[in-house]
Amino acid sequence: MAGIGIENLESFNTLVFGSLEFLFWYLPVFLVLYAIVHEKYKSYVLFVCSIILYGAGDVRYVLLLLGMTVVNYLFGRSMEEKPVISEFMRNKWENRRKKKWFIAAVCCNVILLLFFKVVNAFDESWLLPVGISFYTFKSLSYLIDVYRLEADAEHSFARFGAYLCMFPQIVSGPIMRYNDALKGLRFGMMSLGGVEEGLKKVVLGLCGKVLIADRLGILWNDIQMIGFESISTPLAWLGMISYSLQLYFDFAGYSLIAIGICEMIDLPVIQNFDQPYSSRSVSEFYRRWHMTLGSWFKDYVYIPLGGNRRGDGRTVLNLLIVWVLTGFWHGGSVNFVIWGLILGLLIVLEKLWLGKYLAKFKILSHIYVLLVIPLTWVVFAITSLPDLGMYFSRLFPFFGTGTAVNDGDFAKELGIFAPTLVLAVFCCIPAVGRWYEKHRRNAGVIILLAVLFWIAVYQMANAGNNPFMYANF
Amino acid sequence: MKWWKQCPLLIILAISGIIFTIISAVNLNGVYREYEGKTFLTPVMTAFFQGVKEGNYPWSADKALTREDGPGEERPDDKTDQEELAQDIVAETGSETAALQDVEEESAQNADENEISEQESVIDEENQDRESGDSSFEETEPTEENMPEEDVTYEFVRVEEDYFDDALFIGDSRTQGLFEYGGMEERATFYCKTSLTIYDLFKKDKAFIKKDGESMTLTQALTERQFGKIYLMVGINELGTGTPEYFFEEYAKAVYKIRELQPDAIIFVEGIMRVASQKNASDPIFNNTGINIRNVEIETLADNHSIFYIDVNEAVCDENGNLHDDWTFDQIHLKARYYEIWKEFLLDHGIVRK
Repeated sequence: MAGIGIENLESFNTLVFGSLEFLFWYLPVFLVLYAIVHEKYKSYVLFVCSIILYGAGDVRYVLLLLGMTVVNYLFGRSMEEKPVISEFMRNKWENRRKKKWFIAAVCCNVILLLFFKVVNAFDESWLLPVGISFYTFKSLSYLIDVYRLEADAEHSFARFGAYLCMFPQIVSGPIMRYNDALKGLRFGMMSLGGVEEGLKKVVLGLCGKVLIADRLGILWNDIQMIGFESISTPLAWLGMISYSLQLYFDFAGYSLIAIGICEMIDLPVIQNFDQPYSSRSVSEFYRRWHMTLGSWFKDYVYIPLGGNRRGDGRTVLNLLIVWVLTGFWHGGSVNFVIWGLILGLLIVLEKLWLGKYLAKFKILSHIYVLLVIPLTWVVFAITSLPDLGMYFSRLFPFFGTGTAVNDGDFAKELGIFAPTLVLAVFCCIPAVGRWYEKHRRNAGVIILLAVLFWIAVYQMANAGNNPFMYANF
Repeated sequence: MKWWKQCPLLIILAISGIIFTIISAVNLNGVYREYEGKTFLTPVMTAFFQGVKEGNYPWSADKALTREDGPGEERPDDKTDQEELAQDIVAETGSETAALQDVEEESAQNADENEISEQESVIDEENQDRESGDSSFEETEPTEENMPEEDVTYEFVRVEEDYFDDALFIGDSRTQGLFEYGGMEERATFYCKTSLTIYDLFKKDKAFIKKDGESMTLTQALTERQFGKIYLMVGINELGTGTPEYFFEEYAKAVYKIRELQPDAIIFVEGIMRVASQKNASDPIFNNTGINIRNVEIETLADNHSIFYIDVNEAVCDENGNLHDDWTFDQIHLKARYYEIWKEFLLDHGIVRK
């Protein structure tokens, strides 16, 4: 799989999750098992199956995951309200004790994440443990909710383990809140209707990932093969557009698979992407892109910092803090921090000045988003700063000239990838999504989904057969 | 609502999945015998999808049964293709008297002469041992005095770009890269295709050459026009299929077929370009050991009279013999700007016959 979504930044073994073995063995067996066991044991099934899959993908870090599960479970229990002798004692001692545990818990998770991000940024051979960005964020949201008394500390270790490690979400989210998961984990009742709806999401997500993202990945690979200094300006633009679509279909497709599986076992459906490319401002784009991450930062960083209630200056600062952290969360190297900072500045700009114009001019605002967002994806995509500078000098050739540029490269690549690009753009049209939502129970749509599913499986079977996806030289 | 009305997609997928599995399972000893799953968990239906990709449908005739070498043999080609090739040579040269024999004799001589040739090449001794162990040819060496015209050998000289005006390049994606970024597209002709292999080169159903909107086979193209120089670089895609011996057998056949079709052309057999260090260290198949073994064999084809061996690795590899790490993104292909170096290497290794 040529994924360059979030999971690519981690030591993700694609042969396991999202493979044919997963689809046709692991998932059906898990679903049957989950359906037939008694309610009391469903959490055990989910927890144990998740650990098995995690271990099969990358056995090195399974102990770390288990360790963090135990530690965070105990932190949660430690912060619980204890029966106390008097109110006075509660106020003084209880709060102090709770705070102590809370700080320790947060530090433990943050330091762990920071450690791996920084080490990985300096030495790429140090791979990030699979899903660490996601499970530490889930842990943090749980711990903060418990501390704020917004959630009860979980008593059942299996249920907590199931929440933190559940296999659909462990690799790349969505970042589900503990309270949401609890409803499903406690009272979830699998139903055929739920399985059907979940399956539809899985099929759609799979098609987005396999038929669009993986295919467009070859174009981005071609561009890197040529070398940024030698691509023509039209190809640089085509590459940027293609990468923007690839990233979306890769990540949103992946999310949709995860959401679909959750829906099958009657966990609540939480949206993670909502037609982001139809947005009319960068702020709106990030309310529709990786929504669970955005709301995480809003609830646990932006609002505690004071949000927008402490004057313009403080709002700007808070926004920039949030966005630099968002950048850093995506990867430890400098380009991610720059990427976050640019987005932060754009959002500040929109908030203070640009926003009212964007609201007024509909077409202009769409053009603005469709131009600015892909440009920021280039910063996201290219981790080496000299390479990044080179790519921009090819996008805007007045910054310099290329070396050994073949002007025919654009026509060649467009010839190969035009059908996929057209399909990708088509799927980004909000009306298409609305049409699907309305007609998703129609016989024709269901047959179409089935056909698409087998086309995706056909692709996977043949990619899997070839241990080197790009092994045609 | 009836239960089956609640989950039509699930039912369709389950039924079609079972059908695909049955189709695969039934044919697993027939048409699909070559598509064995990687692990016991690989779904059986994978065979069906892989078969379809290669045009093997359940109703296709079971090609494997007609083979003499049977299943399990990794040869990508089968007997009939080789025979076809031999027949082609016979038919097209018009000499019914065992053209293949000629080819073999020539091959023997060339291999022989090569041992006394002093071409530089980067090979390990182990490979050289193997090579000499393999040669079981007559040991008669031509003496300087009675050397006939065809035994005159030539040295490499620096040539100008117009040298490529009547040159043809045959190769895989690397040669395709040379076409796109070497700056020779105006002068030279390129017959190349990504993932082209020596096995496919003369296959009748592989019309990989596009000319004026029409597809043609290499045989057709080489019959149509005569070239002054022909450069050939294939071999990396073949690393995963067949033994080095089989590869070389086919390679030699292809070169002699080119020789037959283009009697006056100078043929440059190019050593396969190596891969970069990371790939070399991590890939069990696409590594430089495999490449070097094959290059040693390719080199034996040179007679330094009309067939010459050139090895671009001399120009693009580091001191450890790996492709320069910074010169490639995917560890296999040169980045565009470095094709210039390949071209310069070719200009330094021109052959001018008096």
